[in-house]
Amino acid sequence: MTGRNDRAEIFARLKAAQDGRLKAPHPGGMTPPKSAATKGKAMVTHFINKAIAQYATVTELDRFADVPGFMSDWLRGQNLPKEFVLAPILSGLDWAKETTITPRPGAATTADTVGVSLAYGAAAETGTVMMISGHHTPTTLNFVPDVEVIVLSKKDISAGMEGCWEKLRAYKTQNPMPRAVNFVTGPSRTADVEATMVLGAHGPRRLHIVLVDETSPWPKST
Amino acid sequence: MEVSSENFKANVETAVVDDNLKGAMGKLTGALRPNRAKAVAGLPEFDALRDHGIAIKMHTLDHIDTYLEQFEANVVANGGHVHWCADEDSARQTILDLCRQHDVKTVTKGKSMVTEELGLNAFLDNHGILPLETDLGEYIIQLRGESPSHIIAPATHLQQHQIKETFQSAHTHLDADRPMDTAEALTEEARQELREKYGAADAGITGANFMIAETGSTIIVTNEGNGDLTQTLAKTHIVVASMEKILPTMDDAGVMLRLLARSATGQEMSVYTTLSSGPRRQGDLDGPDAFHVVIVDNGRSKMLAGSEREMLRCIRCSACLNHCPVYASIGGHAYGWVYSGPMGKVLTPSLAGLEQAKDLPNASSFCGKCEEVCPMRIPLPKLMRNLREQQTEQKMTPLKQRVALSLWSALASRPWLYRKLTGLMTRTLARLAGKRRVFSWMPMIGEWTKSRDLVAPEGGSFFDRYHARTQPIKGADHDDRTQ
Amino acid sequence: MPAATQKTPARPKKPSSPKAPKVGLFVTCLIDAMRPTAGMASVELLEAAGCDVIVPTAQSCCGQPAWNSGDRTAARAVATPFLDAFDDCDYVVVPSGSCGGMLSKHLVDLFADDAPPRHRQKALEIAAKTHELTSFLVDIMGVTSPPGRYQGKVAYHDSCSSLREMKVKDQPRQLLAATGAEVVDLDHADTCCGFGGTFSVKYGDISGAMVNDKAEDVRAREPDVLVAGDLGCLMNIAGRLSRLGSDIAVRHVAEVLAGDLSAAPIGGGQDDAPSTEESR
Repeated sequence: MTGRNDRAEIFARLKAAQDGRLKAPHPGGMTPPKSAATKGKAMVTHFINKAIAQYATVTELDRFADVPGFMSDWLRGQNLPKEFVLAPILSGLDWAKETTITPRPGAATTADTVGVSLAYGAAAETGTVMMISGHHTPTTLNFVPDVEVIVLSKKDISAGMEGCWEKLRAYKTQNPMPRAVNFVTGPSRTADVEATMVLGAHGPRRLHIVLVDETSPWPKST
Repeated sequence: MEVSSENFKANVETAVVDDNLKGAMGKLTGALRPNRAKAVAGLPEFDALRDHGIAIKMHTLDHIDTYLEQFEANVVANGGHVHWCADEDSARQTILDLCRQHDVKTVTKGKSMVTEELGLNAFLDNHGILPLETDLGEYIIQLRGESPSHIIAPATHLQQHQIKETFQSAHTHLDADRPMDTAEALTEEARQELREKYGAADAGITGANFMIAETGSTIIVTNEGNGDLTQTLAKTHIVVASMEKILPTMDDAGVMLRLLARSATGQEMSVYTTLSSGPRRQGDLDGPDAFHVVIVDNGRSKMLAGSEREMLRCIRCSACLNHCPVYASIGGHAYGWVYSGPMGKVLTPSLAGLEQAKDLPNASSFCGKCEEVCPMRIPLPKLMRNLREQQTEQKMTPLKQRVALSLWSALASRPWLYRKLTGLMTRTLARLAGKRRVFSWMPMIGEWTKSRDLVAPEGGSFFDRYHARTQPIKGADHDDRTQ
Repeated sequence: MPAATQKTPARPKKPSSPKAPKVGLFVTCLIDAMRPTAGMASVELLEAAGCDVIVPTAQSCCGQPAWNSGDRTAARAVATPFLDAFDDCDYVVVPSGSCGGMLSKHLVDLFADDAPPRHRQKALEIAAKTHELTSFLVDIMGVTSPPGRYQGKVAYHDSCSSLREMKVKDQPRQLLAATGAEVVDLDHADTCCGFGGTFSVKYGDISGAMVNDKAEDVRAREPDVLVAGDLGCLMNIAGRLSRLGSDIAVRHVAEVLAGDLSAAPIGGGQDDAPSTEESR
């Protein structure tokens, strides 16, 4: 038992406050964005431009099978450690062929510099990726490492947030609601010191998005 | 948090001569006003979105009991718990009990205005539980023992050198000669200080920007990532939310999110928007073991039934603060409670009591900028005027003001008499001012003359001149229909 | 930089055509007592635009000081005398955005609820036909060229009520530009000057800080004259400019538009141009 239970009292007050009021109807769905490109290549380009405007960096690949090779080159090129933490959903890729890098499937800890995960959706309107929690894709990967790499299938990009909600509703028909859904738009930042924007406040200092043409390896039911 | 709004005038007197504050406010408004303008200009449907958002809020408030019940059922279905708290005592006790139930010794906190409203940090501290604020601005003011001066930028009253001094005296374990003269260096220092604290905390307490009935989710919107680290890494996640944060569906949240960031910081989307829906699932590799939502009324149901109902549309974006010339002149602390700026002028009297905050609804020039920028088009000036009317009805206004107003109205409701008296007065004043045409001091209106001269009347009245031009007045100035 | 003013030769009052709209001028208490010239200039502008102007004497103040102080009873007492005064008028025109806003936006609320239905009806009628002076001239009368000429730099200050309640923004600027003036905008044109009626005498520190910012904004533009459509703002800004020792002239916009610079500027400022002889 915690505290007093004020439930009955509160609901009595709420109901009393509504008494005799004419009730407003729900206005229905969303106001669709007029400004965003809504499909095809233009939408992907819009996503890329918006993500870059939010200080993310972007690479485009043909296949998911190219991800391990890309990571190997990229980590070396960026002078980042060869060990990194990997979302288990991506551990089925052929990492063994890349002998210079060491992925560790699992959740992230503060010892991890780089984390790699897979997005469930994205909104082109704002360059936002949608991450869902679960054993396939631990949430810590999105927040704990200094460098966050997010792999995203171009087929999972929607025009705006409506598409993300649709994907989530579809997911929910097969699975329980994910514990956490994270919409991520660029790397962490703050403006708490004199309204000056500084990247890398508490979360990732960098966000790199790897866009893949192929369909993502998400199972229908997780 | 204790309400000290009755000290408003004294607070203002100090604030207007505080050069650090003036500098800091200039930086805030200089950044956020143009940012918002740019974001709004970049979204042609912004006004349509506002109307849509308002319609959602009106509908939700009209059915708030239904949606809160739906929310509760879904939180429970997700494996979480919901606690209902009528007032601040109940909310504090509930949170303390939850802490005890989960054997909590240390707490990390994401930025939450409702926990400021509850004075939660001091309460937990007094009961042996250590709360640590993790939002950079909140962390800074916690070190300084201050309250937030802005609902989304809590340390916005400070200049960089003041933050440097705060860190110098707080972080004595660090090299005294470390570089600290940039915003980057200070941000990095806080990052390092807090990095290991999230995982070590027994509980993470966050607020909620929204709650979604459809899914039983709470939403936080942040840029720093501290809120997500707080709620992901601690063993228990406690969400404290005031009840008007409820929304029916995810799509509704989408409409609000489009409005929120643009209105707040001018971003199209904040960096992190997170839906939390219960504790860690079976097989999950991270996430809290327990998930509690503490829903706080603390005056909201009273507002729902009263004339301040429209204020419950507020989504705490801070646009009204950022654009308010009064806020820019005095900063947030002068208002004497958690909420400042125009929204605080309505919210503080509504929640903490009008008697405690008599000055707040009065200290506005009614310029209307707040209503203009409010994404929810809350008629803030109208609501302040309502509160002024309540003060008049309850005879809370100063006697001097009541007497002056009734004398003036007795006079002004008799136009001919009014003109005779004002005519006499203005002719006298014009003569007294002479060639200088201004007075540097005038009895009764020292508040005016302390910062500006009083302009002398031109001399004579409009009606005298107009009648002299059109026709000789036949001594019948009080004939109401003379042309 | 001399600012010269002149106007088209003084005309006799035009006999109004039968079709001339009948306009009731709501003078405002501040103009009546403090700045009659602005009222006379308003009459002249309306007549030059072809209006048949009347000025009902059953008016003193719009009631706004009481309304904004939360004293509905006092505000009703002040507003009641003029509820019938504009019955014959097609329009009510106000040389003030603030009092205009009171008549067109707030009067209906003031006489809501328990007010006599007749009063509420009158308030609705007045609200529907009330306009701020410059927007009336441009939007209703189609004026493009006002009588006054002004060869100088004019900064126009937007009063909050004009801007937000009465949607006045481009109209006065267009008219000013048509006088030959160089019209400049203040950097923070849409920020309140801190007047706010009784606010300025109740919260002098805040109001003082706000008007200081506004005065600095005006000084940075170095206009020959600062004009606005609201006497409250003008007295406030002129008072601060005077305290700062600035000699920028301050005038009601109607004076410059009508070419009537006969009165000395509001406050302590100076015109660079001689005015009295030329205008009257």
